[in-house]
Amino acid sequence: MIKKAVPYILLAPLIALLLILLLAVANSLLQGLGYMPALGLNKISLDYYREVFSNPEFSASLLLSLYISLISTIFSVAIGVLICASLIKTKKAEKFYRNVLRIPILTPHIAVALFVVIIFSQSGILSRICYQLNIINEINEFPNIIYNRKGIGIILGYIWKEAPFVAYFVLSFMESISVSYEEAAINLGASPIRSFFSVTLPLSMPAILNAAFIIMIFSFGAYELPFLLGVTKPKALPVQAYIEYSHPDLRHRPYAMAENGVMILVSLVMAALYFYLWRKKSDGIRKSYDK
Amino acid sequence: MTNKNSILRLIMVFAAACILIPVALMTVWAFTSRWQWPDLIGESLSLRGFREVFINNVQGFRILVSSIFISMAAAFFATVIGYMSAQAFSMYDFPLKKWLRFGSMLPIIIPSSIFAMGIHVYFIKWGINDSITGVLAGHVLYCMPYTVNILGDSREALGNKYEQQAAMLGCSSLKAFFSITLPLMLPSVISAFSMAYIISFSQYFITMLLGGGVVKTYAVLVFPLISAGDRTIAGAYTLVFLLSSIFIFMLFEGAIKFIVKKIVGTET
Amino acid sequence: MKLKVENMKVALSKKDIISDINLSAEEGEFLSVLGASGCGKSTLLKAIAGMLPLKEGSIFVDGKRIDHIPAHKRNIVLVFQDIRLFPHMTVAENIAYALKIKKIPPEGRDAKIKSLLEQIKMEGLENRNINQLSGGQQQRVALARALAAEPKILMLDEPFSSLDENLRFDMRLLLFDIHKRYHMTTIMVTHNKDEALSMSDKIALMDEGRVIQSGSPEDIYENPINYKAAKYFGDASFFEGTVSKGKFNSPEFSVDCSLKEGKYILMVRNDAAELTEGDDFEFIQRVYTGNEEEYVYQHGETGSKIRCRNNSKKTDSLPVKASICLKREKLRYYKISSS
Repeated sequence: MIKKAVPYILLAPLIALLLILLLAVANSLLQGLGYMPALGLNKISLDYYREVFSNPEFSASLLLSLYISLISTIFSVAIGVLICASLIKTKKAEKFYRNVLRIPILTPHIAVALFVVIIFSQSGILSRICYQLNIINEINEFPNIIYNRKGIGIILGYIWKEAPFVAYFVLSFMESISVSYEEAAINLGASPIRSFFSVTLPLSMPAILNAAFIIMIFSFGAYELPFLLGVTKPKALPVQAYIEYSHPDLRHRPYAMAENGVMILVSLVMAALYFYLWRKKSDGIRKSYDK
Repeated sequence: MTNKNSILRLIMVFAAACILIPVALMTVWAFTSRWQWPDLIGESLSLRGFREVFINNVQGFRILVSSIFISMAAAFFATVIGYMSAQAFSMYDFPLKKWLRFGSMLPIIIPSSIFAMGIHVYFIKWGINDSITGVLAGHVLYCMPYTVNILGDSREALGNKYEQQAAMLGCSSLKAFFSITLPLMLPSVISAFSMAYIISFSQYFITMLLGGGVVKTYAVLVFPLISAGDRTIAGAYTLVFLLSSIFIFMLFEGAIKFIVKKIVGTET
Repeated sequence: MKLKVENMKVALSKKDIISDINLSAEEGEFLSVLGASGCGKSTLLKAIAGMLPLKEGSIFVDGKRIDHIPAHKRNIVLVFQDIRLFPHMTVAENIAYALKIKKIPPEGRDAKIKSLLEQIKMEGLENRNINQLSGGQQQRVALARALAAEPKILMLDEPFSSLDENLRFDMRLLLFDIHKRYHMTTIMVTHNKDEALSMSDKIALMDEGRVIQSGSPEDIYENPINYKAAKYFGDASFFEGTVSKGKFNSPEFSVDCSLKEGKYILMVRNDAAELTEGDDFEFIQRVYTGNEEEYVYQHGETGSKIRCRNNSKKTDSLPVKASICLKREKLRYYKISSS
């Protein structure tokens, strides 16, 4: 009997933490549905969700967050895979590059925000270079790359941090594929580029999709970069939600929670999509590896 | 042949430059007195920024040190929990295994701000808001998927073949754990620990909301300075932030290399 | 296609893996590269295929130098020891890989795939997933995939090592068949001497990164060029001794021979030794392998062992102590260099 319980005993702390997390999620969902006994709101209602969805500011925020996470993920994955592939083939100074790639992974998002500001802001380095090259004459002529409505600054910040993450995440996997299957493909007459795209890349997809999933969900729901590099309108969803949350009038709370609820939903949909895609892609490949 | 190689080399150089240049720029900025637009060089070298970080802001240094301790604690708990969970997932088969495995990845799906906002009232109810306990709980929760993952992979790779062998030779499971399994898992344990440390040290929202201004970590301290005007000061703070992360990380890396060398007798 | 390798040296991480490699294979010849694990055989194949750079030396195919040609243009195909069938492709897609590169249109590809599957006795399995195949089937598909590329030179790295005995025999026949049909220059790396002896036109014996002997199977078996080569083919016992005044002397034996003075190792094949009356050797073990029987005796003083093949049928009364009578014409001697 005790033997059967061992795994559960080992997992007890994990389960406790997860229960706390689930409580937080449940609370958000319930409060979003208007259930806040402390405020005398005892009825479940979709009013808050309805209000949220009919608010153009909210849809702008939602779209902005989706846009930011989609664009930054696409670029981060493309650049990350490119760096990964180049790194595998680079023999010289390999150690140096591997260590440099680790730096963004160790850098807190807060620092990344400062980097983006230093380089791309109107008073940043790029703007100064443009002035010195006589491309612009006044500080205002430099375009608003960062605090801009499409969140370009935010996207740049995410790419800086996430492309190396993707490269690092995929590295050992892609390396083992490259050493064996890519070699076989070249041997059969495929040029290095052809063998990369027809063999290495498809076989590395499980790891690449895994990395993409992690950064996509993260960049959708993270607070720091959108707050530090975002513009007043539209705000990214996490920023918007927190503003509502910290409103002194507690009756705004369910509204904030409804926005959180939407974020939870979108994240879950992304997760479901990933598991479906991942399952499809890697089931056949996984089985052959296990042989 | 050489054409392809030089393109690849170019890509790596460009990538390395994109990574190193911002860091270098910020470092330089932190050491200037003033660097106004449109100058390409700062006004003069100065330690004004660092004076602010270490001397003027008396709290600043104290907060840095206590942040390091908090993150060490978070990393410790996350690693222990991660190891126990990894042991359960890789060595046992039991109902709900798949669900719990998925659950351990849940913090990756639910953003930390949503967790913090959702649990806030309950932490208040339980009296752990504005306390290190609450902050730690949040940090550990969000480090946990990574430690479970890292330790899970290597626990599974190690398998129980050595423990089985030890048992056959008459060794108790406790002894086997300390003399065989743990030493072999040590590199992975340290790797998980350092990853958890970095994640905890960089955490902002959880500390900000659940710590309520009472528990202040370095991340919470530096955050408002980024959008403030003075880049020299922001740079100085951020540089200290970045360096302490990298320093601790390199410390752990060195520890791993040392242990692997001692145990296995080869370099990695 | 004729292959010639001259003075090849390949190094990895500053260490020479193979050096002074000189070998050649005529058009349509089946060459086996034989040697123990770690002697550099696989490195040799990879270097010829272009996957490893040469530190020194050159490779010629049909008289033209190819070591500066990139690997994917050499048309020298290697069947890897770990097979490496592409997991994300079916059997047909794997085989078609080289055909697609050659831009053969779909109908041509399908016909070729069908023909190859027939030759490897796997008709109808075009759409099987790789992970559904057995080890032997995977091996065959890997062979078909290589053949589809129509290589000038076909190379195989220990193609049968992961298969069990029965399968190995069938695969050997298959490879032999295919070699005859295509008349393709084939180089096979193996550590199994029976395979090398039974399948090859020529054998190159490798040890510690060097080719120590190369010749026909009979040549190498009957006349190993040195002690290492002799040891490789087994079935023999070795005794150290000295030759002086026309006689080889070791603690165990004394034999007339016409060699120059010096230190030698005497090789006694198991069919060169016969039991006679005597007591300097003691019985240790009887080794029965089904189609052969050996007795192992140990010298009373030195402890050296000698293996004798049983040529008669009677196995019941083995003398505990015996002497060994040697058949002079089957003995071989290897000089020990004075250093």
